[in-house]
Amino acid sequence: MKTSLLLKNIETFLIELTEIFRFIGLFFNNLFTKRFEFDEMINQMYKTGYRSFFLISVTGLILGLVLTLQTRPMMADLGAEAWLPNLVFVSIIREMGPVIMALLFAGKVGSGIGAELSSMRVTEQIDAMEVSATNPIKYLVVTRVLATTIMLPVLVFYADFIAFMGSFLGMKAYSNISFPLFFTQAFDGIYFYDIIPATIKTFFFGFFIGIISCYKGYYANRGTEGVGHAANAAVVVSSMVIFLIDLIAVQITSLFEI
Amino acid sequence: MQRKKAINIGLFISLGVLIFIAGIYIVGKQQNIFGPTLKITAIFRDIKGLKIGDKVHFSGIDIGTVSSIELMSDTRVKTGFTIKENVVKLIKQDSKVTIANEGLMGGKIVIILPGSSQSRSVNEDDILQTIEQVDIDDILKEVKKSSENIAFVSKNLIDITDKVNRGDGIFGKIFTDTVITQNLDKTSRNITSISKNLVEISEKANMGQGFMGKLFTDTLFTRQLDSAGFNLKAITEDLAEVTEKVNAGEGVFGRLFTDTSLTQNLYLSSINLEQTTRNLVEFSHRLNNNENALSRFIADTAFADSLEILLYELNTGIREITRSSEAIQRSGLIRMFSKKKKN
Repeated sequence: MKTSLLLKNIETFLIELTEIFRFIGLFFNNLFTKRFEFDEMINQMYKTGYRSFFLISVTGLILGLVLTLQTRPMMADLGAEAWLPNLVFVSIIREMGPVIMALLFAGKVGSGIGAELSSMRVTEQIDAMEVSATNPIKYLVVTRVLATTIMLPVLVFYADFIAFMGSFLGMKAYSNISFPLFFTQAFDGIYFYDIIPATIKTFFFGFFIGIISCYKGYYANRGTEGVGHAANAAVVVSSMVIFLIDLIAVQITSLFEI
Repeated sequence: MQRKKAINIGLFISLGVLIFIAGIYIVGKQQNIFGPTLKITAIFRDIKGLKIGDKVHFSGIDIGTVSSIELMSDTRVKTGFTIKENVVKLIKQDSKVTIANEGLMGGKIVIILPGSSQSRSVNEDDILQTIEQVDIDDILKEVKKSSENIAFVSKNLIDITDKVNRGDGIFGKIFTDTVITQNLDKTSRNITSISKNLVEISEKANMGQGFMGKLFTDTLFTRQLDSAGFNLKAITEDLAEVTEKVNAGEGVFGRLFTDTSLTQNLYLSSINLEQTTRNLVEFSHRLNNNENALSRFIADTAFADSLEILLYELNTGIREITRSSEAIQRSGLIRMFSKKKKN
């Protein structure tokens, strides 16, 4: 009985995976065809990126501050306080910044997209678009996925910068470090292989948050219940995929490091 | 509204990308990607975990990065460095390259040691000489040896302190034998009193008391000493002259030391003198033994008494004779006889 349930779950998972891949194919198919919904994309970029700036800024500031304050006693015990700015900044650039901002982004934007598209589906607005010869994939999905793919990396740049300043505040709280010294110490051990892979993976994070949220919303069913489910599933699956991509990114990055 | 949104998004993205570019530029500047650079190489036997991107220091300043690492053979690792072009003129062709630890945690840096001022500056793809640094394992081996030696020394120290505690040897006695410590105490007291006396003496000498004091302070006394010394010098000069004369055989002493006939005579005289003294000894011995008249005269009291009586009687007799002769002279017969004679 249990085995058949497990098999059924695996079956459902595999079908869903195939559906997602098909959806991704649909996205790329619509991306490179004529009539690009630029205004809608700007609109979505404004909603997903610009409106998330405050959340990302506050989180970035707290992230830098807390990381510095948490790590400082340990580094001070080791007598390696001079390495603290670099340690914090490396961890923010490589891991904390992209992953935490992506999770936040998934929570705020992913759930929004999921809920919006699912409610459109439930209220048959998507069907109406199809009937009125408007390509819903082009108008709803491509614009949103492009917006998340472009805006998340930009938000992560901001978040890294604000976290850097937060880290300086954290350092300044306990020592009389000057900004030029903090700046030099922070950038002392930063290399291209810290920045580039981290930036590339944020594009992937943004893309997958957008595509999963759109997929969950676009194919929502079971009425109003499906709206909540779609919003929830968009966040949960996006978060899981973020960690999955991060794991793959670490493996790929370590291949190029000497 | 849509236009405003677009402007906001444009600004937002531009600023974000600017931050990203600034970060890339700062990191690139650190790795000398954007400035003019020159590549030099060095061949190490062991690069000790050096990585591409590690820093290159010259006189403690970050001047470049490790740009390539290539394994040439099992004992040769070709390592390339990208150096900022503005410091290249300071790096000479006979400069040496070494790998050092950046910190305790194991980070590595390349250090270029300055070359001679006469040498020419490095050019593109020049190969610099390397100095292989002492490995931490070698240091640990040395530390192990040292710690073994320290253990041995400390064991010996324990033995020594044991002996000292038991009272063996000089040091042991010093720490345990009360007699020695008492003696040492006495000695130290004596030394204290000696030093006190010395202080007093020196004080007196400073004040001009006593011989030393006079010596140090009294100018008249020193002048007298000076003249005495001068006289002594004259005497010794005279003595030198005399001895010279003696050596030359002049005068009595000279002849004494040099004239063999005189010494022969003196020798004979001494033999005679010895004989004479021997006779005198015998003579005195006989005198002491009352064996003859002279000894009896000296030593025999009875003889002396009888001699005294005899002398008395002789004296009395002489007196009588004198008186008798005076009577005769006063008699007429004698006077007459004496007148004739006078005529």
